[in-house]
Amino acid sequence: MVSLLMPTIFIPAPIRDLTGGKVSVAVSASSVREAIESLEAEFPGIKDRLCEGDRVRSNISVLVDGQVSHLKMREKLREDSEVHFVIAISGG
Amino acid sequence: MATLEKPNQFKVIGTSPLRHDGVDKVTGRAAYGADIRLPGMLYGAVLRSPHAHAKILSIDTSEAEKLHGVHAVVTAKDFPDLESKIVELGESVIDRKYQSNNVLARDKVLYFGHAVAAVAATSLHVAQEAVNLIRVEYEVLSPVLDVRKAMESGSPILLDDLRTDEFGKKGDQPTNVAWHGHNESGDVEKGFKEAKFIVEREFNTKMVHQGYIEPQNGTAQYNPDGQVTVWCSTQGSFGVREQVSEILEIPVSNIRVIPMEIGGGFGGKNGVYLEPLAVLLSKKSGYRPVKLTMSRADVLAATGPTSGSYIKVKMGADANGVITAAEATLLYEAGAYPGSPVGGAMAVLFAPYRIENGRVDGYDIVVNKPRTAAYRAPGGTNAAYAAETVVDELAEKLGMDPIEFRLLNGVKEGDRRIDGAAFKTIGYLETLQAAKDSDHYQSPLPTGPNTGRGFASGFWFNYGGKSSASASVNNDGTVNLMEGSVDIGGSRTSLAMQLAETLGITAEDVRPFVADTNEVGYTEGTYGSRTTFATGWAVIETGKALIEKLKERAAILWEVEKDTVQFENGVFSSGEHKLTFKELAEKLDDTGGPVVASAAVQPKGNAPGFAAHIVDVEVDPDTGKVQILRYTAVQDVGKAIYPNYVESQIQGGVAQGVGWALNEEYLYDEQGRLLNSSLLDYRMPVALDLPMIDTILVEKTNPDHPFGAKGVGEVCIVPPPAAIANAIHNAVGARVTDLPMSPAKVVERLKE
Repeated sequence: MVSLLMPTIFIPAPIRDLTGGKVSVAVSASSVREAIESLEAEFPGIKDRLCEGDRVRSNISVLVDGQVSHLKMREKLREDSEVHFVIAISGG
Repeated sequence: MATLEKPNQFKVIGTSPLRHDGVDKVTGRAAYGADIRLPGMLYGAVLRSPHAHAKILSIDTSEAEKLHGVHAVVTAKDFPDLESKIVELGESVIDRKYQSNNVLARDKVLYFGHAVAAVAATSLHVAQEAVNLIRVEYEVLSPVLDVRKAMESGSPILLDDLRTDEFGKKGDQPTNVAWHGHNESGDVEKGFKEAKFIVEREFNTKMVHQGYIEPQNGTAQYNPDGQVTVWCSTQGSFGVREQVSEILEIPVSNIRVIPMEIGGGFGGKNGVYLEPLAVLLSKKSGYRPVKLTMSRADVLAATGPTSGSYIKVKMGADANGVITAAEATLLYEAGAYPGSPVGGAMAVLFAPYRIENGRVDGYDIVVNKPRTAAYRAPGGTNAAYAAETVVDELAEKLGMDPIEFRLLNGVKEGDRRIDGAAFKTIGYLETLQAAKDSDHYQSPLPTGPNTGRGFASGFWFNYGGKSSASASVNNDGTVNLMEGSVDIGGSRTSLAMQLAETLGITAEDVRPFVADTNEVGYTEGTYGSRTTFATGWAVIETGKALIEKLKERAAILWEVEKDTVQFENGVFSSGEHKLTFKELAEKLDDTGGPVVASAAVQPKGNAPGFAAHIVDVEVDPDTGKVQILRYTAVQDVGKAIYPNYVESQIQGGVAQGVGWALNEEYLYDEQGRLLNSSLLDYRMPVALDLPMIDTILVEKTNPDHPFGAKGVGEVCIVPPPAAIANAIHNAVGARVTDLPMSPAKVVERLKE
């Protein structure tokens, strides 16, 4: 049976102008890299806001299912994964 | 200390053994950076700017170089000319160009105390005399000291190349606004329309320092073969290695950083100040070791304090007390170079509450003050001061108990923050309930006029990060543990305990040792409330690896297959064979010699923490003095590995928060000169200012850590100013919206 579930990518507020105001988008992807490529295909310009070259910008944290991802672009996604791009935080 | 917990299922975890470094610390044998004495060592001094904002037109060092006893003088021309480059240092990032310019000014000085030149000489007195002989010609510029003025068009610009970054989009005009962040959820306007009560207030907070007792220091030896050794007081030896490497363009493999004992850091000892200067002075003086130490005045003027801020908060609630909308604008001082903790502040601000309609804008703004550094839950205290004061006022308008209001609106697992991320396992509601049930909250206010009780919550993320450890088994059954985390708050013992629990031995049977960058694998600094969690994890994995190797030894000894060997509660067994860890350790020579193991981790699962603080105060309406009568800090701590240390962390955070609330502030004149660069004038709290700080540990186990641990060292500083502000209001009816709530400010507010 084919699963209808797809990872959900939450769009950060500052770049929702690129998604026509959409807060979240379901994409067919098995990694964060594929998710970003899918977003870029649908909403041109969004990859440049999230990435510098082939890396997620250093001041952005990638959360996958609520956990900070150390692998960022290489992090694998499940069909029901949630991905957030949030402001990176540092502690004292 | 009270603990709300299940029965302790551990033998070592949850107990309070004697700390391994205790004797060295109390006898004065522990070696700090200032204790370093090396053969042929020179002493350094730094020339600092008397101006907050000026162009450097020329520097003449000729007279200083002629002074007898001077061996080297360093100015900007001795540093590599670096292009801007973002360097990731674990949890934080730096621009190496700005970091280098902060160590030594190039064409401009950007704050009072900015380093301009450095000297190495045979004694400190000669070095200081030589510094006074250096002639610097400045063109003085107007300083920018206020974040709102810094944003105005026509404001003097600090950094010509700075453009505003808005989530990957760069502005095209010179500016003092380095970064603008924006989080939004739901329909904020609709939410406010649904509100019966709305509270909107503006808050101002001043720049404050971490106040660690030990000033920065750095000693360096540059060898003719290009190998460099640095001894310093730092929260992270590997971070120093990377920064020195980036700033001086020396390969990391040529740099060995030896962390000395540290007399406090609280976030302020992650960045370098003196170390690159010491390295260059050592090289230029003919490869002699050079030691640099800061005075208290240097520490206050030129090392990173945390941001002052302007914060505007608006919140609304319906007639049932449900928060319908919230919005905020936060302007944070970055100091001379970008990097304020406004991002953390944006996320902390409303984190304890379920807010469907929310909007937060944050701005990172450069001003002519020292570059800010992290300080315990960076950005969170200012933000919570604003939000928790507004929450208190909303509860008051609704006629609700402040804890009941928070219980009604508090987040639980699955609820989303305004930036969209959902909480996993958290203990906020349990923490609130423990506060509500506490003896303090259930007791009447102390009798007397003008007494009041305040309550506030706090949130902090905590961090994981990269850690390494290695261990070797001694033939007397003890274990030597080498780990890379600098011990600031007792981590030698909390790590030793986790290894002991894993191996089934006592904490005293583990000998923990803080290793340098050549002795252990990469380990991030002691920051982000990460060490007990993440380095602890590395230690646990090291212990597991030791057990596997010891199973092999037991199999050899008993002449059985390894997979028949079991390990439980510190005992190896196979059939009728049985040996304790210690007994097996005595037989290693018969089974193949030494046993060592190591592990490196970068764990996930760094669960956030919540705090709930209750404070009783008495306000003298004539003088404005606020006396803290009683203080109880309740905190969601995961499994407390070493409960006494957890309590100490909380008490320390509260003490710093009380200082932040009532007294501490950087005072500048109109030209940007720091007026209170001593601890006589920069008023930190002392024992007489504080009552016993009671703690309640809410042990909601972190399911993602092997022993259930989470970070505990930061969230405790988040609620105090808000709790005290709410107590002052409860006592005398005045909302004080500026920090510090000094006597003069309280009196002024009472007159209004």
